[in-house]
Amino acid sequence: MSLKLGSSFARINAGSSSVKRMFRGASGIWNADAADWIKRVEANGGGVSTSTAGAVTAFCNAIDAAGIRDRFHRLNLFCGNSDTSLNAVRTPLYRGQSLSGTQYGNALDANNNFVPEDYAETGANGGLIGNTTTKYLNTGLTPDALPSVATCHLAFWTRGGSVAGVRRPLGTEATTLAQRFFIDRRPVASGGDLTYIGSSANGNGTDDATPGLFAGSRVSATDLRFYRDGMQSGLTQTASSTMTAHDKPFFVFAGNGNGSPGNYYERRLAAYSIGDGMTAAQILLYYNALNSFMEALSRT
Amino acid sequence: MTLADIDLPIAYEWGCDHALLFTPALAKRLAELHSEFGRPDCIASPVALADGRLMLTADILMAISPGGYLYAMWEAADLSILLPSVEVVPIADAMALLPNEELPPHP
Repeated sequence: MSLKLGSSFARINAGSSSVKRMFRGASGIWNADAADWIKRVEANGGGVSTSTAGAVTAFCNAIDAAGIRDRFHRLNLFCGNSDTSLNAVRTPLYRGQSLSGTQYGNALDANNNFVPEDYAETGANGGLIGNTTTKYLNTGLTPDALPSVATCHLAFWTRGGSVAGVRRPLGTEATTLAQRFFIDRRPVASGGDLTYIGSSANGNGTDDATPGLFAGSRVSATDLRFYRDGMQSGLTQTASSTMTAHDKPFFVFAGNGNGSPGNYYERRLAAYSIGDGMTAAQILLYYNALNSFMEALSRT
Repeated sequence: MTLADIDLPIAYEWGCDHALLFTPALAKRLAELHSEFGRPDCIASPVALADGRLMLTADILMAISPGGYLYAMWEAADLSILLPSVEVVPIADAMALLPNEELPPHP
């Protein structure tokens, strides 16, 4: 649902600073998810500029218009003002398939070893940068908490750059092949960029150092695809794969290897998401919304 | 070189190029301080090295500034003991001590 400025709702709440922030969105259109995110950032001790509030609102409205809001169990755009504890950048925009439904994982991505200087909101270096040794975020979201783990998508937007070994910007695994949920950037010698969602992997066999969206989506046991910037990259994995949920939470900037971080990603991330599987058409709509958001924050 | 030889505050870039090495006993004491003065969702979590010591990248020292998420913990620490107990080395030296990663099978 959206409300335009000037509605009764707006006038009734015009005295509230938080509500005023809610109406900073593009074209005066209000979005419940964006407004809630701003409130949560402020409650966590962070802040959001007017321009970022507008960009986030426009992103949320694009996701709603595309009809893919329920594809997300967790999404973080790594934005908001910089602060000494990275409160804004660690507050996910989406924590469930809807604002009123079940919310998953930590209220904030738990920070392990990031410092404020690792973050820039805008520009070519916009996003949060990791390292190869110590830095990662813990989402607190576990595969066994997801209501429909048989279909799943994993995605991240990176500022690019080469990698010298297996890097895991997002993922978790336990002890068996069927318990793998991760998306990697790898040199060609290590298999190239790929995703594991369940016991099967799929990738494009290349190591793509350019900025943009990397995504893996499994919509059935025999349909796992890898995407770059909204387009399928590589063949569809049609081999039947098994999938077993587990209780190790998704890490970002590293993989959770049965409880321990590893395969740290030293490049800059500008967004990540975890959720239900998406079709090729839905992935493209998601990419378009993200791309507009990145352009709005000059992350190009 | 130990932390006692370093002029604080450090520059971020210098911090990214260096690592802090310390014993499990010191890590335990720091964890105790963190549990008392730190924030549960904003923590310094060291990595175990092959020689039994633990490591943090030195840019974590950016968080000990006033207002930083480790400031209260730093203020509560006995710096006369802490500073000379933490070895500072180039990051490449610390990475050479990281345990080898086991790669997943190729697709």
